[in-house]
Amino acid sequence: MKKDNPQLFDQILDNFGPMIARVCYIYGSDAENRKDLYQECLAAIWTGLRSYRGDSGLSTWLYRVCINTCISCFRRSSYTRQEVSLDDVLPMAAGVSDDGSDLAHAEALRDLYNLIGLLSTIDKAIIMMWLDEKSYDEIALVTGMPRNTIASRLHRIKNRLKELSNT
Amino acid sequence: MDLEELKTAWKQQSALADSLQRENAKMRQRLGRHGIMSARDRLVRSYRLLGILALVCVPQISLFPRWFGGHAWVYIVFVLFTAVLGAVNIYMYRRFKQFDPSALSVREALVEITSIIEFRRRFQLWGRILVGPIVGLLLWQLCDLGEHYTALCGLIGGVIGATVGYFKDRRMKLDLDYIRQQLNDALTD
Repeated sequence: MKKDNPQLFDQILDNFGPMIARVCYIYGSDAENRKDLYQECLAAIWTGLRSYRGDSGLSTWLYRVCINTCISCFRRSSYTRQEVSLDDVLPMAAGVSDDGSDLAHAEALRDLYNLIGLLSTIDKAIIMMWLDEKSYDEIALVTGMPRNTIASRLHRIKNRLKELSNT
Repeated sequence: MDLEELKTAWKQQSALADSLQRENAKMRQRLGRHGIMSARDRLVRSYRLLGILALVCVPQISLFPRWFGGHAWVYIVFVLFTAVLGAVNIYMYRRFKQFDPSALSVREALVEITSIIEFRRRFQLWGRILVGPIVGLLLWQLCDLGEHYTALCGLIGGVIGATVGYFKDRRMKLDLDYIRQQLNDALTD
């Protein structure tokens, strides 16, 4: 049995913490639920690190662990519409700029999370990784769908997001 | 808002890292002291405990006739019920333990979750319905009640179990429908 790797875990917390939190924000229903999900994801990463062999990139592997962990905890959030209150989003945007545009930025983020929250589980994962500039191959690896399917799905998701943002 | 704006907004979440520092510090502390245990691990541990308890308790049932003074079929029902409960709990423990989020794609994870929830749903519904009459039988033996009281206890227990089971099951079915819908969505291009 492989040993725990606290150094790598520390590195993940430092370098990928925001990425993990974004996944939790997308799949969580409220602030407390997101904190729970964040802890669950870190626990899953800690356990999974023992079997991580480096076959895929670390961030791709982390996406897989976090998304799977979040959907396995879906019960707490499956009925509530995935909307994010301004109070939840404002702390995320705090300190972004000094020119008074914090509120506008927070609103843009709120709109973004609201729109993504309306998508299905798989579509959320796809658009999230696209926004993080992951390649189609990486997205295909995490979701378990063919590369061509990812391309066509992404096209549809973008169109849907455009429609949603116009209504 | 166009997609480029969305992408820009997404990228500008750098300050999120600051708000996570407290959470990360907590995790590091827990890691140093006790190791990390997720909610699923805790659930798995409780199932394991239940399974072991059932296995330990079943052999003790042989003492029951001496305590109760007859009616062997009651003990047989109880032994069978406890044995099934223990076996199913151990099976569920194994299923939960085997779910490894780091080894599955999202699509595979959805299939696995659907299967686990479906199994839990069936098991829990029947468990809730059956536990009432079983408790009724035991009350009859333990408290030396008349047969009418036993029937009443069993009936009341069964009705309560079935009612709770129905509402819990309805909720679980909604969960299942939701996950199936997501799964269908993942399977269709």
